[in-house]
Amino acid sequence: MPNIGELFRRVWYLLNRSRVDAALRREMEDHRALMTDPARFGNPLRLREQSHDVWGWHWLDHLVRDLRYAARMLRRAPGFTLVSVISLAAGFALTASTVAVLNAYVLRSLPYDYADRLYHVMYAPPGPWEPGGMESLDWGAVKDVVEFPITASGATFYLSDGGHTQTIRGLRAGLGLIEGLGVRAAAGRMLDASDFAAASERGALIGYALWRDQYGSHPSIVGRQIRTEPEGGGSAESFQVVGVLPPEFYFGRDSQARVDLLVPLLSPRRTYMVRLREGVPREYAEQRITQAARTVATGLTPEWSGVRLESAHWRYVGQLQPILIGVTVAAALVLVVVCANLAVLMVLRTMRRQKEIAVRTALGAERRHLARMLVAEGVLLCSTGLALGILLTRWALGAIAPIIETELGRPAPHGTAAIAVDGTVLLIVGGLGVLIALALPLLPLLTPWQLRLADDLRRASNSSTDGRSVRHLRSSLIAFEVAGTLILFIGCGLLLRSAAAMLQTDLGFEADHLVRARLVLRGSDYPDPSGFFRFYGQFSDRLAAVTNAPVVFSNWPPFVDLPTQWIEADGSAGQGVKGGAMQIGPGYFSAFGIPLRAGRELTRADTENGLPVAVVSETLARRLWSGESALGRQVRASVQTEGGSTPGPWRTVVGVSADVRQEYADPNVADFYTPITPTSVGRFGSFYVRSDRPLASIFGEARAVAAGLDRHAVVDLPRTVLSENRQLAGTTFLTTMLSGFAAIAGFLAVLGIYGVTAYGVQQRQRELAIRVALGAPAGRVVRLFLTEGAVVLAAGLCAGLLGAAAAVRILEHQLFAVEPFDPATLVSTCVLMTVAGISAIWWPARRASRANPALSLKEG
Amino acid sequence: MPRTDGLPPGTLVMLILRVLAAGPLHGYAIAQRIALLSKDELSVEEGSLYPALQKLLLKGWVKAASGVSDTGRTVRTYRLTPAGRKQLEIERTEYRRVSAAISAVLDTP
Repeated sequence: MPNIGELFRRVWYLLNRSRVDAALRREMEDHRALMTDPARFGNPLRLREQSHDVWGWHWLDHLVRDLRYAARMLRRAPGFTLVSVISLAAGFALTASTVAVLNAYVLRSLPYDYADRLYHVMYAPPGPWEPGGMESLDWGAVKDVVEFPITASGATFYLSDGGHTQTIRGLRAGLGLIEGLGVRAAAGRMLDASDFAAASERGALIGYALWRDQYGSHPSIVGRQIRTEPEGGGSAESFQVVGVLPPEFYFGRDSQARVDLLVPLLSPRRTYMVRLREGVPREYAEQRITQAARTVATGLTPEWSGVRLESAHWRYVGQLQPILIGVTVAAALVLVVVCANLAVLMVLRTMRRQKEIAVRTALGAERRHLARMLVAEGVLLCSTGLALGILLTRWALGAIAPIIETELGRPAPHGTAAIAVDGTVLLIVGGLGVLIALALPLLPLLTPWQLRLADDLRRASNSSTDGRSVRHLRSSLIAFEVAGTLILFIGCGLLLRSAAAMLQTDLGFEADHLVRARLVLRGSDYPDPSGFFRFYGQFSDRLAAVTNAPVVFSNWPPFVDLPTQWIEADGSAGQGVKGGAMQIGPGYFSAFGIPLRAGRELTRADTENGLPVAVVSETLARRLWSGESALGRQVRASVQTEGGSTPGPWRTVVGVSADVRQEYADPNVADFYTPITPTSVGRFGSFYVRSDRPLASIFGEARAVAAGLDRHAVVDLPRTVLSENRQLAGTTFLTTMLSGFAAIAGFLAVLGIYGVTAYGVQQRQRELAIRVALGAPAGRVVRLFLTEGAVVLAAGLCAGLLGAAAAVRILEHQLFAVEPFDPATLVSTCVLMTVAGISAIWWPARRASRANPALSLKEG
Repeated sequence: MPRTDGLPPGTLVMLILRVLAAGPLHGYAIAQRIALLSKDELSVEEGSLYPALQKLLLKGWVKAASGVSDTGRTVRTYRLTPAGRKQLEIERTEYRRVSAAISAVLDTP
């Protein structure tokens, strides 16, 4: 019966073993010295060993001995050891890195309490229309499913403190946000129910970064009065800081949406996030919320599909998931190929050691002893590879984590530092390592071991021929490698074709050297909304003069699907087509490099005088007037609103432009362009500059021009339009990763095939020499190996194609203009694999056919 | 268990416990005492005492301490712990029960 005391004594013994051993030895010697007949004492060595065994540590001794022996054997085969350790380290590093990224984005939940119960509320399918009245939805009525409604509204504040004014990111939030997300104060206290009582003094929470940068992290911030002015007009507000938000807190689209000031939300707002009660199924919650919404909704259309909930985590990472899983699967495939390759090397090594093993068996080693010896070697190789791989990953992730975030286009939910080797990653990769360490060395034992002891020992050389099962094992491992590599090749080929197709696709505009920046004005400075319009006009004129480049405004960016409207032509009797609608400033088409097929583009006169004109894309023109000239025709667009559809004014078509794709697979290139008008613009504006000068200098000039017109105007850092092409970026990223992975796998597969052929050649040296001596032409000898290899290759290719059929599903979303089963890709990758495989066979076989038969026979 | 010619398996532990019950002893003295008490009937391979002692140490039935022998040399003496005393009782009862049962079988005519 094991107990704690016994366990302690065992450990104590382990730690003091050498001392105890020495004492026992002395004790026994003394004892023997006192005996008249020391022979009756028994064998002291055996008795000491028995005494040691009592403490139950012999397994550890065996392990240490096995490992030490394995280390010695591996040192004697430096080439094998080096190749194995390096390929394992590379395989583990790739797997660990991708698992780390997958973990940071997908496996770890969002940094809130009970994040798996947080849902985003969609009152209607994505689009401009949502039913009205949702702000008065009574969340108390659905208390049984919704634990906390999380209501918030972002706001920009001007903070006046310490003599100067700055803009800060504010958030007006309901109590449900604080309770539902489980936010805990880093200093001071959180807002509580008393702060939301109408009569109370207004409390506020300050963001960690603002506290640190502006107030030097001084605790005196708690209790301080701060005055803010809401951007866009409104009276100044005064808050008392009651606490500091935790450093990692964010609320919004991604983890960069930090909050500088969180204040109580007192007016009713739409709630876009909820925390469900434990165990409430999503569908049921959707039904209940839809019922509650129906009672307060205004302007419901009969086809309203109800309220939908989308997991907050999915909303964050849903788009990235296919890319992340694709890369992880690719890394896992590389690891599989690495292992298959290593297994081949191990089987070959075991075959070469047949003699050693025969000697050991003759000396009484049992099968399990041999197995233990092999496992010890595997464990040693794997643990070294794993340790190196993890170190490599830690080092690499430290450097590339920010690059990964940029490539994925979204920061990690827990921040950049979360893309690292943590417990989960260690557990997953370590678990894989243990599996591999145990499985690899046992593979050679799977074959029935024909221990023809006498034969093996008598034979002078190593030129035995292997049994059928050994050959089968070797062949299937190689086929396995070929299959894994082919899957990677196919994935890589499909992505390359997609990327090439994207690059060749004419989007309809020239994105090169096009720069976009956002301009934010202060609403209170422009009591008359037409002031914004005048500002934008003056701003574009002055900036165009300074940069000597065209500057234009528009209300919709490239690479984002346009909102659709119903477009009708004159005389079509209410019949129309769906088209994307956008508003543009003068000179838009020339600045964007969109060719005009007919007519003219929109001018300053059109926008300033608010003329009822429009430009249509050629597809829209063809759909509306099928072949007839569109110029001078009348057209109008209807906007879907809560009340139904409201037709806009009739406009005269003054120009026909080339089609523009907003996305690579834009389903509808029927577009409708109207001039921006004084009433259609607001205090946010996006402008575009076509210039090949650095972003920083454009930024500086735009700021100077804006400040010259209005000292409160804020210009955001410009970005190139090309960098907003997420679809191409995602595909390019995946292509780059997969190409690297495929190259590694391909190299390993070729190495494996080469190794097996070279071994086969060595084994059949005698036979080959006899054939050559009897006059077999070199070609026939080479063909001997090629036919054998071709069968293995073909089996591998078939298995690979089957595997690819399953694997390409992951890629489907990233593919463009190429089918998942693109015949050209399948054929070319198979050909590539075959050529690589055949050359790996041909090389050693060719060498064998050229060897001097006399020499081989004498050696053999 | 160590091989102990002439001793039923497991009895060596009990004998050591019994001998130590009288007071702390060192290894040689334990062997002497067993030989003396058994009138040399239970011829033990004396060295097998030591693996048995290790087991007693592991179980916590005896404690070892460095001491000085009558002849003035440093020796390790073994002393029974309360747990060891209890174990001796258990083994003694158990042995009597089993041997009585065996005798009963053997003596049946």
